[in-house]
Amino acid sequence: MILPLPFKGQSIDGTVLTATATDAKSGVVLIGKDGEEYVGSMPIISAQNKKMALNETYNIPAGYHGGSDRFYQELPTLGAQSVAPGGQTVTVQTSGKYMPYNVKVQAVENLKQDVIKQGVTVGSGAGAVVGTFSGWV
Amino acid sequence: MILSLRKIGGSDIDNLTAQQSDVLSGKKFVGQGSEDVKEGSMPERGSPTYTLSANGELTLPSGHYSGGKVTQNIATMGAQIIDPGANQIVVQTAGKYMTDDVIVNPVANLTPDVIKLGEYVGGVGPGTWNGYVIDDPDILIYRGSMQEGQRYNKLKYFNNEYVNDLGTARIVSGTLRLEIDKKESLVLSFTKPINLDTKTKLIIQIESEYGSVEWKNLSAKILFAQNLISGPMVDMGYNPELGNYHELGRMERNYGEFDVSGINGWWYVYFCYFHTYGGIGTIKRTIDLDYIKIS
Repeated sequence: MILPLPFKGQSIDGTVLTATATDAKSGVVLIGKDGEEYVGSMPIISAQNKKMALNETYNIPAGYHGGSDRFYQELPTLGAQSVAPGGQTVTVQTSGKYMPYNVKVQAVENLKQDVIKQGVTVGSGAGAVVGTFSGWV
Repeated sequence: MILSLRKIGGSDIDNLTAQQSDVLSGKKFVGQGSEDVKEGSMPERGSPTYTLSANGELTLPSGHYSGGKVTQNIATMGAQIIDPGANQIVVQTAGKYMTDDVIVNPVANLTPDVIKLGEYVGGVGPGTWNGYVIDDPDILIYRGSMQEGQRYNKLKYFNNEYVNDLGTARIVSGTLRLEIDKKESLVLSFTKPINLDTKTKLIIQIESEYGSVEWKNLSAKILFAQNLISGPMVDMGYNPELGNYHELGRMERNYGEFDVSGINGWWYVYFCYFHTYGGIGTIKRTIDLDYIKIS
């Protein structure tokens, strides 16, 4: 369809217009497909400034987003931890925290066979030591 | 159809408000400000999935979304119980959110009594273990060390009777040192019996603080008794409270072997040490009981 444009004394080909109401922001007026006037119907979504919980999912609403939707997070964190084990229980207060690093439990200081009474097992698992010391100091 | 001035297709140009940024990219239209055909510039974002990093921040790019989500997938870790030892242990917490604490247990069995004398292990100490570990039931005593559970009582002959816990017998420098004065005798009764089944001999090694023992006016003997008594023993000649007993020969030298092949069953062992000197003055004599064992 050729649309006459008497204002400029020229015409445009209406078939080149492709926009429809859903292609334009809600409320704006345009001439689009088939030379029809359309009022945009694309929802304009208000900007979000959302603090995200751990592993939360936010579903993005369909519509126009203006580039100001901000998502951020403020989980407590705990830095590198190194524990020197001994005769007491040590609790690393990790609960409820994000850990950027591993927790290292050091080898028990001076835990060697020759400082432990012969035949006695000290420690657990792969790090257990069976003492060999027998004699008088 | 011929449109009136400033109208296109029945629309008043002045009513058009759409700008390029208001219309999806690629879509053509006539909008605000001119009769030119324009092309929309609003990006079509589709339905993306954005992943938020831990404590990260992101901003949605402007444009049209047909859906999508902002999500996160951080691994979590529950309580960790660690039993420490001689090796470093790495708890793989990096990049994880902890739902509980990491608990490092005390080092199993780590007490001063199993640590070498004077040493510290993992901050525990000072160690108090000093001596040989005797796990052979055929050894009564070896260089001041005895089996677990074995002890000795000491009885000294005093005022015509044996008195408990009197006399000098103490572990010194890896030996059991006995000291008596003239006309005294000292008895050690070992509290854990030995079994003589299949055994043929008992061996004693004695030394002195200064090397070989000067046996003049000294003697020692071993007694096997059915019962463990700690009261008066009437010079060890005989005490009915001992029950059945066997007296092995006296020894008057450093090393002694006694035949026990004819004796069976469980027996308490008494070691008796005599100072027979009757002269004038104080003449203390010491011996070091190196070991007593059966074989």
